[in-house]
Amino acid sequence: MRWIVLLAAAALAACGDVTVETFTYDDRHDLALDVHAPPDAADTPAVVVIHGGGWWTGKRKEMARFPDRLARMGYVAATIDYRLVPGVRFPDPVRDAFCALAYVRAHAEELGIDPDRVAVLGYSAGGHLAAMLGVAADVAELQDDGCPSGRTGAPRAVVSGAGPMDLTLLDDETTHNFVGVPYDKDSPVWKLASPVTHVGPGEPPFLLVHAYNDRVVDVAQSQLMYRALRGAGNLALLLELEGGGHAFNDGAGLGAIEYELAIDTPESWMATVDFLAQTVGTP
Amino acid sequence: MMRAAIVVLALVAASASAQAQPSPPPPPSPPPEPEPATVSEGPPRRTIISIPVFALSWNAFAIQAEQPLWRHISGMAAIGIRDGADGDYQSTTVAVGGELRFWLRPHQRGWFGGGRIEAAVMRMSAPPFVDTVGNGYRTIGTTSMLTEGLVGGYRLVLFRRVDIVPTLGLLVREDFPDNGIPADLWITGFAGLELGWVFQ
Repeated sequence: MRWIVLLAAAALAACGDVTVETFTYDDRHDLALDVHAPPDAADTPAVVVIHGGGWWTGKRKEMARFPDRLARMGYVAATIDYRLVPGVRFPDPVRDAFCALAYVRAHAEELGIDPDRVAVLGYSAGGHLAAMLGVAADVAELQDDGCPSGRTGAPRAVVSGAGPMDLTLLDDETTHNFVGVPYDKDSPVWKLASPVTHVGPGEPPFLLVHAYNDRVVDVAQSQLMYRALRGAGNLALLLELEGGGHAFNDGAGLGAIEYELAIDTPESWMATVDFLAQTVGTP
Repeated sequence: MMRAAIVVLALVAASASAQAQPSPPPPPSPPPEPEPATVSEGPPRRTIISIPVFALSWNAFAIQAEQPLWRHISGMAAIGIRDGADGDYQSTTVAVGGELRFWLRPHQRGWFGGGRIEAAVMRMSAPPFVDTVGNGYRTIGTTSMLTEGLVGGYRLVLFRRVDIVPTLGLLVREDFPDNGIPADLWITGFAGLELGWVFQ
């Protein structure tokens, strides 16, 4: 056990320069975000990180690995909470995510970020919300006029891992509970809740990450979004992971399946960091 | 082997009896129960070549060899290669690893626990960013990975030849990317399944 303790201590020491501060971005619903920042951040590109959990579970601290590692690279990164089912239903989680993005931009100087270089990154349900931020900023009903920081525009770039993109193809209880109305392929609400519906020209660059053997959200969802984005003339990149799943992915290469989100694999980190460098720039 | 053990025990008993000659003969007592496993028994003589089933796909392959070292200890070495990324990306991972297994029983079947170490290198490529179609690939980085872990499992041998070993474990992994991503360390669980052939 000693070597585990020593390695963990070394890792913690490496994180020593990153500060973590909690801010309430919407006091009406007591919603908070944690900002992980490198020392002396100023005019720095930022990343808003959105957790998954089928829109009904999860919390911002579950994604702390992402903002922490990004902050150690020099980015300012915030991981956010949003309201969950069954307390709310669509579009409230989307509105919360927009509100968090608006808060980060409105407090750019205080947080040491460049408000024009903010990317969003999410996984699973968080990947869906990240995609909605990317393509639906101009849909009036998806932003909340009561948000303390007001309305906001689309982020500069989107990283979406294993996110549902066309909810009309997901006839499952989780999606039903999120949308909140009976399933109907032609239902305007189901289409409104689907990122692929809103794709048009001029969307921000997308990186879509999905494992081939994902049994929770089929890889076809990201492939569909990829084709829609590219078809409308946008820049989209697709990273498909061989052999992996939603939360279990190949290890280093010797055949063990590890508990690891598809977006947390070494391949995904490599692609994400390259994508961020090309879109919001390096710190 | 059982017969040899009885003979050895009988010789030891006879020798002890001869050394004790000057004193009055002890009352007759029943011979001691022979132990099925004697001190002189060595490790099983066999080599097992197996494939981690979860590594098998069109884009990945790994193979491993296990050799008994002592009565309760065996050593395993593995090598693997995997093309882990698809879509707009390409990646190749080459990995080598080893495991020391401590068996509850000297015949090295049933339950075991052990320690594992793996080293891997993953190289990743992507198309040029602005034009993602048809302009070749650029390397976006290389990650070296070092993994240490604790593993437990169970060996089942069918028809004396077919080796099946499910495993569970806990890993500590460190990544060392070369493209500005800071090194990272995390602990995670893993599951494996080995299917092999016993050579003896």
